Amino acid sequence: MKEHIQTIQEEFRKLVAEAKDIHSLEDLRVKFLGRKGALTEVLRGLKDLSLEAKKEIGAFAHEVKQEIETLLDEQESRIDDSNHTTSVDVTLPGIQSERGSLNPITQVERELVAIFSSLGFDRFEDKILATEERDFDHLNFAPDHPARESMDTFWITENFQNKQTYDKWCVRPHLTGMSVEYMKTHTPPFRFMYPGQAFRNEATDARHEHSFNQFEVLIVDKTVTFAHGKHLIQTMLDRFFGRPVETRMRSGYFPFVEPGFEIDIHCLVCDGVGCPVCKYVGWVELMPGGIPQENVFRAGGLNPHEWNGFYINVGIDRLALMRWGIEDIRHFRSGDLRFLKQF
Amino acid sequence: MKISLNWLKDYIDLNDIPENELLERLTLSTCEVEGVKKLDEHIKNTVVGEIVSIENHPNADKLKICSVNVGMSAGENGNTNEILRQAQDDKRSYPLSTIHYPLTIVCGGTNLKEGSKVVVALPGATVKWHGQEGWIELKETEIRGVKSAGMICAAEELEIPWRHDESDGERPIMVLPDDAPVGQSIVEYFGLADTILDIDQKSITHRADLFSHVGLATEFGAIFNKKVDDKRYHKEPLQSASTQQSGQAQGDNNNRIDVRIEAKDAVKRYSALLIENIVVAPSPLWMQNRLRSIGIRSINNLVDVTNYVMWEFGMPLHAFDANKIGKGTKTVRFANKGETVISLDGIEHELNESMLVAIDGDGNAIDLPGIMGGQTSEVDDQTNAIWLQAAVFDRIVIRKMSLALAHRTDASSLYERGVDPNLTIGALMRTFELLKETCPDATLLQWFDEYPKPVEPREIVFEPTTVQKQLGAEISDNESKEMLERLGFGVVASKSAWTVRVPTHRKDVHGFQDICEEIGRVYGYDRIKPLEHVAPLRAPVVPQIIQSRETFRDVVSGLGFNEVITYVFWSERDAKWLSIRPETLVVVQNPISEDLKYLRTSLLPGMLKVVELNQGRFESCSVFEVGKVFERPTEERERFACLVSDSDSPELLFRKMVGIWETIVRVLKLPDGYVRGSIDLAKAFDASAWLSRSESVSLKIGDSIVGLIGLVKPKVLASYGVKRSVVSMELDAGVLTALRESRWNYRKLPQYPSVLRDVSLIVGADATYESVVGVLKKAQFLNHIELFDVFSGKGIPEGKKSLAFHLEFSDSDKTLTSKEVDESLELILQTLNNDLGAVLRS
Repeated sequence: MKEHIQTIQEEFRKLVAEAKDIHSLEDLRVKFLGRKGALTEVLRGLKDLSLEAKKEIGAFAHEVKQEIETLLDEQESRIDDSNHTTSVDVTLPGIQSERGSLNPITQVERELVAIFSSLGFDRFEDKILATEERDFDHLNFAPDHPARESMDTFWITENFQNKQTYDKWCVRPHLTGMSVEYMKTHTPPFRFMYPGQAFRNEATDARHEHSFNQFEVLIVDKTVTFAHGKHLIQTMLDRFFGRPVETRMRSGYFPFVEPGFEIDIHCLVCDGVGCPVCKYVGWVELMPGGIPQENVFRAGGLNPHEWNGFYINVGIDRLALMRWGIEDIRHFRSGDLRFLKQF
Repeated sequence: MKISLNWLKDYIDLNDIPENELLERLTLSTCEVEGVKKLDEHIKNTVVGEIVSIENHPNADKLKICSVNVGMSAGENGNTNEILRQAQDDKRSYPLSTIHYPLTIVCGGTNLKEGSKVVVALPGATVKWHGQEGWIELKETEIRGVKSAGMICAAEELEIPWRHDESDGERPIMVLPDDAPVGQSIVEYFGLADTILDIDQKSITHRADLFSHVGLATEFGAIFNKKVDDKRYHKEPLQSASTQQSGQAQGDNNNRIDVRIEAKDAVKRYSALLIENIVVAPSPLWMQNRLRSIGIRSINNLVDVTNYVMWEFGMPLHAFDANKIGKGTKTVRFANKGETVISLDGIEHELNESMLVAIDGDGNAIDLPGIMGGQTSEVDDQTNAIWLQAAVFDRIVIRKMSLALAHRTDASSLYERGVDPNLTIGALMRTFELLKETCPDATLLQWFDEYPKPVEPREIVFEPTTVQKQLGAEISDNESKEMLERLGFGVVASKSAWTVRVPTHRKDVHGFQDICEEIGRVYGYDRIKPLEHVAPLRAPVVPQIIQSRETFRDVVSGLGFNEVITYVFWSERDAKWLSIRPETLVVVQNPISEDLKYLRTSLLPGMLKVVELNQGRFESCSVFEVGKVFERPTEERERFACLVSDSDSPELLFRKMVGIWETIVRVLKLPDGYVRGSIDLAKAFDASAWLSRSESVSLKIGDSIVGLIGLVKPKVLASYGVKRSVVSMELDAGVLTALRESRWNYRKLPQYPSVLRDVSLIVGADATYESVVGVLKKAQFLNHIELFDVFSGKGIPEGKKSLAFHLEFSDSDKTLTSKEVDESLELILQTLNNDLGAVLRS
């Protein structure tokens, strides 16, 4: 019995030195110490021996087992320490999983949605094709306002089967018309957001698109003021850019807000020093907004002397341009995979 | 619009305020200053000179050699070092007492004359070189062998607005009046030590009053709390104008001119002066310089003064030669169709009934009212009497005229914005006053004023507490009142409310919100402190379709698809390639181009263009889009679409897409979505024309078709230039969303182990998977079938294929025995054999 153990011991001593990687070392461990391992068999057989033999042989067997374990550990350290090449070349590049992407426009929209959802704003949507009433009349655009003209807005040809049934329809030039639809169908106070695509009859270049995405919100409450609106804007921008950003609010004119404003943001490309993006003035026009003009409230069925409100509108394209330093607005809708796969 | 700061300072003292603060506050409170230009930024070492003599250049026909006196010492050796040294020290003026050595300057000007006063750029000056960007520093150089000590400048070389006579030739230089002081710096001579603001007009289209220097001075006065010298509404000496329609200023006269306004609604007010003893001459230099500083060329004292007052008060004026407009009654009326008038710029305009025209007593068209004067009545060197007109025309009439005639002038732009009719008299008198400077003998012979509906100041009842309620800022009533008054509003306070009188040039102010805006913007929006709004806690509402959309985006982007946004517009070609009749499409009346004239009915074509764009750079293209499609007359539906293009076999692509669909069904919790082989494409989706009918399927949930998957026809691919196979899937978001299960139940884990069996069936090559599985499904205890291989070829008989399945058997009440499974399998194999001739692959 003892010789048998010695044979095992010698065989192991010989083999362990030959193990060059941890996989063959593991094979050795299984061969000798595993459930059906050579030494395990011996140890299992001990119970059949006499008490005396058990004592002597048992002690020896355990000694050998310990030696094997020690040698295994030592050999493993030796393998780890050597720069021996194993079966795995750990320096190879990763194999890429198939991964798609969300358009940067969608990503920005989602971030803004998340910010305003956290502030309790409902989501709202309405059609892209709109009557002149929805997108102009309700919004206090004077009958002769230039925006109604074909230079700015796409109109749908009036060649309808039954002309009398339809008003003049356009492909929405802004989202604001939708806010009145919401006002008409909901009971204030309310706060809601309505992102979407809008269209203008405008030639395309690196900074202009005829199709673009906007994000607009409206809050209506008796107690809301311009000062509260300012806070909303600051919250939105700080959250979006992840750091406090410097803004300035200046007077702006739009028929559907009174007072109206424009927010300029310190150019994030040059930090306000001046660069081509900000036309060397250090500020970039970012977003307009204001208090709904009294006729807009009326179109929505609300009394402007009772209710107050605040609009914020931001161009998603522009935010995306700034966020990633993108030089050409046309990339978003080009479908160029070299661009899209980066996002 | 360009505004001169020096000019503004005629009306308001702004010298204690730093320039950048002026610009910043104007931008924040009133209108955006888009650009700032210092007129003398690039002008130095440039002086008035006199051409002493002219000789031909020995080596060049078009060049002359001029001796030019610039009023300075040319130094001992006749070089210009001395001049340069002086010039560096002081760019404004040079001592006239220095010795007048003439400089030698080579020049190609076509209007060089001995004795002319000219603008001389000396070495070290910077000029704009013809055809080049930016400013270039001038050096003493040899030109065709002759050394030139400087340059005689043309107007564009110094960016000075200048008017040349035809006789000046092709390459004229600026010739200054004889009294120009030799040696004086051009910066001083032209008044270039000025800052010009470029104001963004788009932001103030509602503020006609801002298109003038006095108007902007008023804004500065309100912002910085300063007094403004505003003479716009001075009525002297025509104070009685409102009671008396017209009158003689200087006794009776046969030259009396009458005006009949026939186009009553289109002419809000017509005021005019008849002025005699006019002498046409150059304007005073200061006025020329003012006009030049905002980009207007000086012409003569009559034209200049009308331009000057227009940019001072915002009131367009026109001077007719009184001798050329006939004696009788002038008429302002709507034109007859086809009537023509030639405007000052020589362009002949054909008019129609919606356009205004002015006719003199002899029936000649003398004016294109509101746009431009007529050529026949133009003032010239012989003019000795003028009919000075200050009229206000309806803004819409003028805009339509200007658009229809494609003729836009400063005057028509002002009218379009809405000129205050109360400005006419003040503007006429101001013009008369300024005219006296060059025509001291000018006499006012007659005046005319027709003002049927005088515009009165609007009165608004305003509760001062509204300021706090709207703006959320603590602004005292007194402060609010003062700000309004500085803007020219009258405020009469009673116990609870104010009566606010709005100046007539502020036609944009209608109601209480406008008044809040005035207060807010002058106070400064930047000074309003942000406040947190407190509102009841409420979970936001999100429409179902948005939830589906965002889930769809997450699923397919996670499966390797890239999101594209393509245009909603289609071209005629798209319709043709997709075999869609254009008359079924929504048409854009005013497209940017013919390529963008229809609205799409499917997302696919836009995505095919994406494939075409990327195919050269990428082996495969997997893209998706979420967007609207349109239907006549004004319907729209939301679609979710995926498209994959690859060189894999069409069947593999197809199966990949079906896999995407199956994942969507699972993730969107749609009840039992399945793919059906037989379809009626045209019914649900307008896609029959471009999907290959035999290689397409409709996707159904219950009885509803929610979308389709198909291979795009090779012919369509060829039209779009796509080289690899394309499989597309398009889903109707609305239908899909309506079918989502609001409640979805979890299935308990099986209590008893299941038994797995793999089988390989040999069936006819044309047997579909669906037909095999249809039978297989009926096997007892079989709860899951998974196809893992489709094979034909070696080892499989000709005309056959093998389908290999993992089959999983289980029972909810007990552990199945091998025997039970074998029996079930045996039975179903028998059925398969009977029904489809399927046999087990050995």
